[in-house]
Amino acid sequence: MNFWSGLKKMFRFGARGRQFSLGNESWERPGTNQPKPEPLYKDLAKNQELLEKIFELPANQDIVVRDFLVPSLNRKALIIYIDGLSDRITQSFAVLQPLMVLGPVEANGGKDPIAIAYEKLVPGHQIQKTSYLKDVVDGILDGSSVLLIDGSDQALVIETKGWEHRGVDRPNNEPVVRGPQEAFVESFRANTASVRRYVKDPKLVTEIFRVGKRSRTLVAVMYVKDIANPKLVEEVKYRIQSIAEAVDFIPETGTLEEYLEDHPKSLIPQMLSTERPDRLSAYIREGHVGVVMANSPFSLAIPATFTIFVHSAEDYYLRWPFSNFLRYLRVIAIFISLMLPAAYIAVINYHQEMIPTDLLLAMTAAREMVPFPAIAEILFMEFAFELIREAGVRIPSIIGPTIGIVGALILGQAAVAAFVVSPLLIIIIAITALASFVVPNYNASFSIRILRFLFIILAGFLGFFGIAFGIFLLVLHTVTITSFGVPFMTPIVPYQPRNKDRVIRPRVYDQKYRPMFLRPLDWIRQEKNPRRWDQPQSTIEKGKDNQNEQ
Amino acid sequence: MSSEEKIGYFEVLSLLIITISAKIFLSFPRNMALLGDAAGWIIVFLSGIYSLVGYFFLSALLRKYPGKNIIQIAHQVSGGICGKLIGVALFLFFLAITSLYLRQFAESFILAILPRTPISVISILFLILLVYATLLGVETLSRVAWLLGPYLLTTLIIIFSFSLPQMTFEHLVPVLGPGPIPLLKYSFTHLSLFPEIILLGIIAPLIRNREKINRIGLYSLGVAAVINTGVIILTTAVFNYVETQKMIFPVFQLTRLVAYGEFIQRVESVFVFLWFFWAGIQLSGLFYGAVTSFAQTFRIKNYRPLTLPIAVLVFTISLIPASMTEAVELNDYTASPSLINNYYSIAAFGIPLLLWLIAIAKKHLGGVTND
Amino acid sequence: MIRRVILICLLIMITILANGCWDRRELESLGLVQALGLDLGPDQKGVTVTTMIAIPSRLGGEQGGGAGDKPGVFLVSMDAPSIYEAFNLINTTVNREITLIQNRVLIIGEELARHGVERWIDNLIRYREMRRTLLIFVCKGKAAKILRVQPQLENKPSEYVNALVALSRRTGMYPSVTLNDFLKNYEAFAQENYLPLLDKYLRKEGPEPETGPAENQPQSGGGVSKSGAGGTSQEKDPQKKDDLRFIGSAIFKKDRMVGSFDVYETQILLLLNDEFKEAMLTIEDPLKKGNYVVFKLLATAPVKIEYQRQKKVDQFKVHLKLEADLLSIQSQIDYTQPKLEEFLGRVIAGELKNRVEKAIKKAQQEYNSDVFGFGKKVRSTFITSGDYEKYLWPDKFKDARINAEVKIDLRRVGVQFEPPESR
Repeated sequence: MNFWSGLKKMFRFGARGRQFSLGNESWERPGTNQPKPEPLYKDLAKNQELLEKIFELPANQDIVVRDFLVPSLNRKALIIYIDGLSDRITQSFAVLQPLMVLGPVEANGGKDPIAIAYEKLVPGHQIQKTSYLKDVVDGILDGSSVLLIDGSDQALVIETKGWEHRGVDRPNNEPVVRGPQEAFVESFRANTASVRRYVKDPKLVTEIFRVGKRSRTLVAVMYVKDIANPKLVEEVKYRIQSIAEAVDFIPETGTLEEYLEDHPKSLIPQMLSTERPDRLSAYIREGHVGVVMANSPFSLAIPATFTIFVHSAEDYYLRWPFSNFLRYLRVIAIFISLMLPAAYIAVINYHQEMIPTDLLLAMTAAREMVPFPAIAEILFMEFAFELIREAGVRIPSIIGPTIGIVGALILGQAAVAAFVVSPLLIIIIAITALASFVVPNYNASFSIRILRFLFIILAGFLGFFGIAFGIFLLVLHTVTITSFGVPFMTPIVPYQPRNKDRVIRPRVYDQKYRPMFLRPLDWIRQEKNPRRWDQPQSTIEKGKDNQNEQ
Repeated sequence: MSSEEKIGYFEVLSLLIITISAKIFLSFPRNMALLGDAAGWIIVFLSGIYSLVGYFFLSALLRKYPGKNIIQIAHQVSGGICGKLIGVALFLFFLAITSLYLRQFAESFILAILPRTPISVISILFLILLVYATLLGVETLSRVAWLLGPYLLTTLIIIFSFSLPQMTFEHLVPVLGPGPIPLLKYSFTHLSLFPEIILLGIIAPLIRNREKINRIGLYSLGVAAVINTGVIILTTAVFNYVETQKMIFPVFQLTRLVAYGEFIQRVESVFVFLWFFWAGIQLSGLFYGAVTSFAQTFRIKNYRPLTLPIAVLVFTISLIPASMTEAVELNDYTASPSLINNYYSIAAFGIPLLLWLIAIAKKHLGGVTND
Repeated sequence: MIRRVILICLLIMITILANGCWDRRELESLGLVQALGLDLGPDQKGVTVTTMIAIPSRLGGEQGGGAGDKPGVFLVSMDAPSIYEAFNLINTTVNREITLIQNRVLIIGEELARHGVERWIDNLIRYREMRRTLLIFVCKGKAAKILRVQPQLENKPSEYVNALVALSRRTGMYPSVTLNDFLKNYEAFAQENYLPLLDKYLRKEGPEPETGPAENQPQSGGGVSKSGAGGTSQEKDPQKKDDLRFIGSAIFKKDRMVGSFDVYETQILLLLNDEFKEAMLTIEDPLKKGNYVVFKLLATAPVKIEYQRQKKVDQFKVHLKLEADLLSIQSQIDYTQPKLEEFLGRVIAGELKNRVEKAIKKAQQEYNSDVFGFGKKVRSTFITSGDYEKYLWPDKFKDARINAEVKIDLRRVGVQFEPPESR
């Protein structure tokens, strides 16, 4: 890349031509290229050879091929499955026994044997008829058993999934005091079932895709069909499909997030990843789109705006004054964890006049013993704290608490006693660390951690001027980024008065509308005065019809 | 100019209000005290009323040619060469005002909190911000203005309330200052107190609701006039007018007086945030005006590559005044080289007036209506 | 490739900027000046600057109060042509950079005040580290000597002075003036300045064992204001400790100190300037001579000054409306009855009227300086500032005719009705 094209690239901020937005403009996109699927053969031997070549049999000893004879059709057949992924009981009850032992004698009748088997012979609860090789391979890899009968170019993919997996457990990373204590697990169907339990709307649609050429991981896009904006849904599906064949392997929703984001290089996350099904289903009910992936206990809610990162799962389960108190606390904690060390540096190095004289003299007395400049001290202690934090995640749980004590108390105490740092600094670092744990989202807390270092450096250069500079740049950046076309700072900046749930939440019965930035199809969430029992007597008797009319 | 950008009503309102009233942090109260002694606020007040009248021409033009900004209107109304001249005049206006304010704000930061920092560092940091904001587009800038606007206003009110105990209305007498005739004269000739309103002419096509443009201009001028007058009254009441005439940045001195009990004292550094954001938004708006007016004059489609060269130009021009006092005095109305101030009024109010007259004349002479 | 270029540019920029940080000052490199003293220099042109620098290790931290016998500050004095050159000279011996950011007190020696502060005022307001919220005092003698005091209740003398000044609200015996107030009046052309006056004080810890009780009377003596109220004994017993004491206010005309008011006249001064809050005063009992009645005077309504300009002479009428709380009755006369309350109120009003007129006359005749703010009233009657400046009020103050009218309401009498009687 030569210099001029690089320069030209620099000037294209924001002028990216047309970007996706949820507005009323129509939006034509080029189609995604799906490869043409290969068909199956009619001959069983040929099919078997094909599959053996694909799965590297006989070297690959995971795949089991069980061939047998179907007496009722008088044909040869075989099933292929992966040992360990298939449930033996279902196999034997749903597939092998009926076909081999129990089936009635049927006349051939010239019909397709697979069709006969599908209708009459195989009592499996979920069977897919397919004539494509791709579906067969996918089915085997999923854990289903595939039935091939000689003379038919179709196959039956019989659902026999069953393997060892973790049961539904408490959420590790988003604990709440009041609220459901369930979390997503790695099993795909368990996850989608969890969401179904919370949103019992018949219009909740789950569309399943497979992403990754070699990993074929199942991804479910869940949305409520008559609430979610169809453009949004189309866009999510389009993006997933266009990366599906372009990538070999997508392990987890985190990686998927990076593929799907509008601004992957930004420090600010644009999708909400959550471990709790009640949270995901709350957002699906509002008109967001949920993405659930197999092997991943974190699901995504699309799109996500700034206020969503400040909300926690508990906010709607608590009473109104309490949850608002917690939200205020959270916002203050975000400010503290972002700016307290930087403000400390700025005040100590540049604006010493702000400190009351007594405190200043005490701080000077403490700092006289310390040989390092203040900014070196703070960077050192911040780095030490990040070490403690990362180590705390990786430490085996047996010695975990001990290391906690060692790290936090003794390190801090010893550092002060050895005059490496001053005591006030330990207080500042501790408060910052506590405040950073108040942020309810893991991704967002990372942004804050990194931005904190940037602010410390800026404050070290120019005091409050540097901090103001940093804030201005940060605000300019956050106002620009979009999450799937929705400006990130909605509903604060493109000001939407109907979205009352910004930082503080209004009373539950006051929120009549769904978030307007999603342009949902069905705006109205509840009636104007849903507490019907609270109306004065005369209006209730008279207004029974009035309420229904609204 | 990208046709995709659309700005909302509140955002433009806050952007304009912040742009027009940013000068309160510079030597604006001092200039008014120099002109009008204790009655400086009357001059601002009357000037606000006059500028509302002057705004009428601009809004009439915008209403007549919807969807075009003022330079496009100039091209259309007065033809090629004349339109280009008007465009260049506007560009020079924005350039001059941006460089001058940049220099003055940088000086005020150096004076307030960073006495030993060289001015180029502060200017360059500001310019990085301006370039970044302009590259992102005016939609982003107006959103930032709306986001930060209420907090800036609240902080201003906090300054007011902390200074209230020290206000004495005895300082506002003698009531009519130098006399009613000089007051009227000054407020008219020094109409250049609100020239930034011409920015509305530049961003007019991007506003979402066309019908509300008139209201935006009126409200922003009104609120800005109220803020400016309020600050002048405040500084004159806290420091009597003789002292205000001698201070370089009166509002800075005002923040130095904020004290509450034993704990909150000498906290003027906190208000650095207030000025920084105010200055940042104002300078970004004016810089954007400069870049787009240049691009529109010479019919350049994409204004983004122009930002860096114009930034260098702004930086260079901002370093022209040799000392801080010279920089500040360029805005001073009683010092002799007040060409600049007259130039401001000509650019901001004379150009719309001229164009309006030409448009009316063309219509009356039965000229071709090229709509 | 382009990324490497950008990275290199960034690194270069960072090294340039890191070399800078032009304004960063580490805390332990600051020499915090707690109080500043200015005296006229030996050559009558320069100034002697005395700075009181704090020693953080003795004042802050855990050892702060423990090392009470060693002073927590130390003084450095230098002669120089200007204040800031004096700072540089002080920095030739003090190893921390002298900075005024925590300075709250400025003491001007009487000699400098009488000589004229005109040359030094600009010094004080132009430098950015000097703040307008600085408290200014004038002291008798040299500021350098006053700054040597070691107060008992506080470690830091500047705290002591600050707290003492804050108490002026309760006694009204000395004003509290910041640099901002000083400058407002300095340039306003309508009122002259006044500053609190400090002096060294020999604290009496009780009557002397050998000598009889000193001639110094306690503060609440006498209803008549006499200048030289107690406590300014000049002989210093080396074993006695020194303290500061406010003895009233210094009166300025333009930029020179021309005289002083004692504590009682200062109370009047503050009354007329609307800065008086409350004080405890004593008058002689009108019905039984030789006894005193003690009351607390409260200023509840602002003073009203009526102004009339007649041909050559300005006439002012001062209306004061105050409240009094009865604190102590020495004779057993029951002043809490309504009729006697009214009577007492009138007596107090008469006494105050006397004091007011005396103080005003003193300012008019002896000092010819309008410290009471009558000029502000004059100014408000002019429409344009040009006319006011042509009027030249300060010269006319001497001939003005000023009458005072005082109205006192006795509102509360404490927790007791009748005074106890011995039977």
